[in-house]
Amino acid sequence: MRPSSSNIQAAGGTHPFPLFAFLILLLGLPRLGFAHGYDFLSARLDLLNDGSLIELTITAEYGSNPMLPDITTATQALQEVLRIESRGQDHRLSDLAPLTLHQTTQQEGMLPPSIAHAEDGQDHQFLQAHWRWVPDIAEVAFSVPKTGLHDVLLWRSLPTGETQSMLLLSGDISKPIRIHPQQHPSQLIVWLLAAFLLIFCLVQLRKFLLATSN
Amino acid sequence: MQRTTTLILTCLALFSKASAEVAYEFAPNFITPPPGKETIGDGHGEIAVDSAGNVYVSVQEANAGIQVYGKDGKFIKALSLPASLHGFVIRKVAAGEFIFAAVLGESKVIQANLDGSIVMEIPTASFPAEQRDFVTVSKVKAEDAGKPKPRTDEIASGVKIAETKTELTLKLANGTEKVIAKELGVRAAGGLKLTNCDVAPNGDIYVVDGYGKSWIFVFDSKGKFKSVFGGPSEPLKLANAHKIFVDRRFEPARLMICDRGHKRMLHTSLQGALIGEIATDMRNPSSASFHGNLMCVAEIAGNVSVWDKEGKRVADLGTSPQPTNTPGIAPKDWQAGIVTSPHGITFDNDGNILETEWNKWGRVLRWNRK
Repeated sequence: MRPSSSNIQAAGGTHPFPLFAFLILLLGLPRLGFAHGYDFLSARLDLLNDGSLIELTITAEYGSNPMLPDITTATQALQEVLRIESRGQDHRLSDLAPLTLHQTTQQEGMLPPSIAHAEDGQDHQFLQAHWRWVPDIAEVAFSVPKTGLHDVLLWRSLPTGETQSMLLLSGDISKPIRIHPQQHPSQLIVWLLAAFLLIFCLVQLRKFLLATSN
Repeated sequence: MQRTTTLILTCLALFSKASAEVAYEFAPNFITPPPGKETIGDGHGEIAVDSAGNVYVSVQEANAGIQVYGKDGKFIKALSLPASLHGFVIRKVAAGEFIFAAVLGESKVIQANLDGSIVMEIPTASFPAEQRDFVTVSKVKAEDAGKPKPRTDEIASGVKIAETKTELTLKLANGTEKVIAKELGVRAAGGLKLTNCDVAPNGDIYVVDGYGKSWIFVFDSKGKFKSVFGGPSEPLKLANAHKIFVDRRFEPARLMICDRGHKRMLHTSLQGALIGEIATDMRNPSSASFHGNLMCVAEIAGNVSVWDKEGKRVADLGTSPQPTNTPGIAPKDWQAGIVTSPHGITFDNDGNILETEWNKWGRVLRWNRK
């Protein structure tokens, strides 16, 4: 059983450590001549169109990541690394919308600005998956399958300039993320009818009150 | 008579429970960095204690790969060893007490005296070709030719069996050979990425390719290759087997594997036969050490754990409330007693725990046994 904040008694000076806070603290990753690349996959979350469109950009560095020796394993990882939880069920991303993959060597936008580091002069190979989905629900969460081999840094930039992030290990589920689902046309018609009915009732009520007062 | 037996059994049960309880307290500011330094320096290595109680910590510094501290944590000296001692142990063998280290950046193993003088080396050439020469060959995409950071397409993966100025020959997994022209933009990457080693009671040296394909190599005490097992396929199916240790709590001794990619620890025999999983669902076990019947484990995603011989977790120390796995947490953000990314760990001779982190400034934490 992996320790969590709730079931572990930490020895020595435990302090509150708010969710998403740790990465805001980071200054930068080192240029490690003998080390390996990122140990985790990055998943940048953007809420577009006033929050009615979810965009995920998942990036895997392969070659220097010991868990992703080549593009084949990176492709497989990107397709399976994250799931979306909605209405009590978890779905593969590709069940809801297609994932499009492309190779890049550029790191821009891959990591939160607070931890992205300058070019280190070494070759890096990244594979990115782009995913867009228009949800019809108000809240979603992302999860890493229990059998997943890869950790995922889920992050997003807030309008205030702050970055929220959390590292998800296998079996972890993110905190719920509030979104603003787009209204379906049929829902709009229902709302319009309800509004019309309300106005009609108010008018009738007014007429009745006027009649009875006279 | 029956009452006496019950009383004795109750006393024994209470005693065994009491002896199984372990408790630690954090000891702040144990390490005093070398003169002129605020921290010990770029850490991506290991920590160990010699029989005299001195503490050895590896840092990524050229020609000063290990720093030595006294029992009181005060800096004594730096040893002139390679900068990439990702994993090392201090072991007493028939000839004396030595440092055995995997040199990640040079794909080799060294045995050194405690003063840093190297007495034996297992060079890259001593490893079997099938693992040593496994490469992936790729070629720069045509549209990226000339760009400073080009994308590539994979051509093939296999064991490099021949190379001339113009051609590269790979032996593929299906047994066939593939000849690849070494034209502009073709590159081969792979090879060994050795992350740790340990020594068995008979003197055999076990080495793991933890940042490669997780092969475990066995050499005799003179550095002659004996066998290889592990790797990514059945039966062990290892992934990022970060470090291995000879677990002498058992007779016969076992191999303890930190199978970090699978977030588990497992035991095998010294011949490589699977004995069983010790624990799963961990915060990425990265290193371990033994003292008596206890084992402490550095979990890089933010925890130090202590386990008994039966594989029961008996303590957690310094747990980061949120998982971490980064070397980038600066000293100003360190919290007393809370780990960032534990990478190396050791018991000292009194059962206290010392842990070193994956941290570019370098960090060591200590917990004293109560």
